[in-house]
Amino acid sequence: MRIRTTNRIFAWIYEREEKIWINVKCDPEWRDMWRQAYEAVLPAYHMNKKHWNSLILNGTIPEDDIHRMIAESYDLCAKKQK
Amino acid sequence: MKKSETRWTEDSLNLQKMYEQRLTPQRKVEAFRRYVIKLKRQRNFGRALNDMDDGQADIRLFREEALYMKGLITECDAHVRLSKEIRCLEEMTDEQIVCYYMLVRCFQNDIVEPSDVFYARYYLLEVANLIYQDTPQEACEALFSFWDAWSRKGKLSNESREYFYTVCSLFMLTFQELMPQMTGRLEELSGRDWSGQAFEDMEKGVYASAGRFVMQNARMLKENEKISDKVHVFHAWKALPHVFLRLETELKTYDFRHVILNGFYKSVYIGEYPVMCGETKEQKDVRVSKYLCYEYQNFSDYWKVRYYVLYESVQDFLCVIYQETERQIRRHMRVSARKGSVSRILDKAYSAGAEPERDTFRIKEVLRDDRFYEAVRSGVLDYLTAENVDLPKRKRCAGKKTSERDLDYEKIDFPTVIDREKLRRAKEDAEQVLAILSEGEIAYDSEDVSEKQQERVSKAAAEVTAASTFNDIEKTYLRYLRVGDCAAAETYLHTLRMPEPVMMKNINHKALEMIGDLLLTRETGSICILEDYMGEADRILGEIYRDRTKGK
Repeated sequence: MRIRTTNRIFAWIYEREEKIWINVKCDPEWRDMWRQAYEAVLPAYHMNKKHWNSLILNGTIPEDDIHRMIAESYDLCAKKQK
Repeated sequence: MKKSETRWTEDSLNLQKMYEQRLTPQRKVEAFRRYVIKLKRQRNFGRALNDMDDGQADIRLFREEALYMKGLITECDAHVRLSKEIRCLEEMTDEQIVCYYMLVRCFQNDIVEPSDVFYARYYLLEVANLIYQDTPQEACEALFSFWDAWSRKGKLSNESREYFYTVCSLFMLTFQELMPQMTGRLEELSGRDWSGQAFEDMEKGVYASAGRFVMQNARMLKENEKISDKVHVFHAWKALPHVFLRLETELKTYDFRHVILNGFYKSVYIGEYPVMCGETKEQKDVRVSKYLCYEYQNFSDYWKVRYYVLYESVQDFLCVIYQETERQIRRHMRVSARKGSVSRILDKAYSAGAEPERDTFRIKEVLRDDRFYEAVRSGVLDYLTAENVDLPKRKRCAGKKTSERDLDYEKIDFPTVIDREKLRRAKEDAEQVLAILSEGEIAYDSEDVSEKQQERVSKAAAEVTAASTFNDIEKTYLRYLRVGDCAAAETYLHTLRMPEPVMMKNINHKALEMIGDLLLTRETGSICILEDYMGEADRILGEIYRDRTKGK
């Protein structure tokens, strides 16, 4: 999924091992927190693990947190370069 | 009679109106003829049977025509000349009429000369309905004499010949007392095993028949260009014991399974036998697989004949099982499905009225049971697992470009023929690439990783890097962007006559492979490197330095 204005990708949605996965960008400071909080949050599959996380939608991550991570990803990608 | 009464224009032709006219019988016949001719022109008469409404309308019209003519004949003293076609149609049922037109249509597709079509129509009608033959025996003679006359005209197409055989089958169904006689003549004519005698002989170990049977089927296969099916047929038959085993275990509730199994073992498993040696007629002890005769025969044709001639209900069911098994095998081999449908074959068997009601009911019952199909599928899988045979390789595998492969995401569609060694190596490669991609984030515990593994990882990493290395132009462009000189970068691209979006796309594509994210982005109209990946950009540009020092 891309940001309409900048055309940058902020979420990669795909199916793997019969589950829906979403790769989202995250702040490196918060990255490990999410990974420790939920087993279904992993270093991003096939992407830069420093800035991206993979969410496996298997029902273990609360919906609010999924929304929050996606929103953060959007903000990070929409953020202007210094 | 007034002239005005008989002055017909095409527009005024109307069946109802025509009935109301007071005409002499001769005039009525003539008027009716014109009416029919007009309708035939309008509606592609007799050929619209795919559309049931049109087909039914045609049938009704023909019947009406025939009956009307018959009425006229009885009323009319004068001789009214009616075509034989009409006289026949008069006594035919709707099904017969449909059948007749289907036959005619097939013939029209197969033969070339229009005169032949006419001839064929005439004779087929006569023979199929036997209206003008006093006895079935005479009809049989007429059929064969027609065939002789026709084949003397020249070489017939395979389709025409097949069609003739079909007509013969229909005829034999109607008059079963003529079956022995007809099968004998058909065997002489076609060289095929119409009676199943050769098959029986083969089971008894009469080698001459067996050899003839095999050669005959090989010839049929050659004619039908079915040689490529050899492997599938071979595996399908080899899988059948597994399928039957499954059926026996999973369908125990059906008490006929022993009948089927007995029938199967009796008819399918023949002993190994030597074969007559070609033209020398010597009996040569050639060791032939017991599956040989099945490898080379056209099953659908063979079993079709069995349905019509021998009426063995067990064989019908065996054929269904065989067809299902073959379908599964084909699915595994990724080859296109056969055109013949199981239900069609079964329907033919049922419509022949061959088997007792009880057997029919049981067969239908088991076909409705999902476990039947599951047993077939499982049996095939059992066979593939147990035999570990060298199945043919997957078709159309050459089209994929290896450079487009995405080892991370791609669900590699392995061919049915599993090369276990290849699979093992592919798995190892995949693990290595995954390890490389996660490098830096999922920290390796160096103690856990053996030297051999590290060696493999570094080797694979080198391969991946080599595949997605930036070229000098891209690196130079990146260098300009790295130092923030966007104007110089644009000028550089301008001198190369390369559009900016193309360069950006190329670099981002490679960056996605290398660093797992896009490297360049467009900010306020100009391209720049993403802040998060400045370090990675430095690393890439560092390579340029190393490359140049190497060159020096």
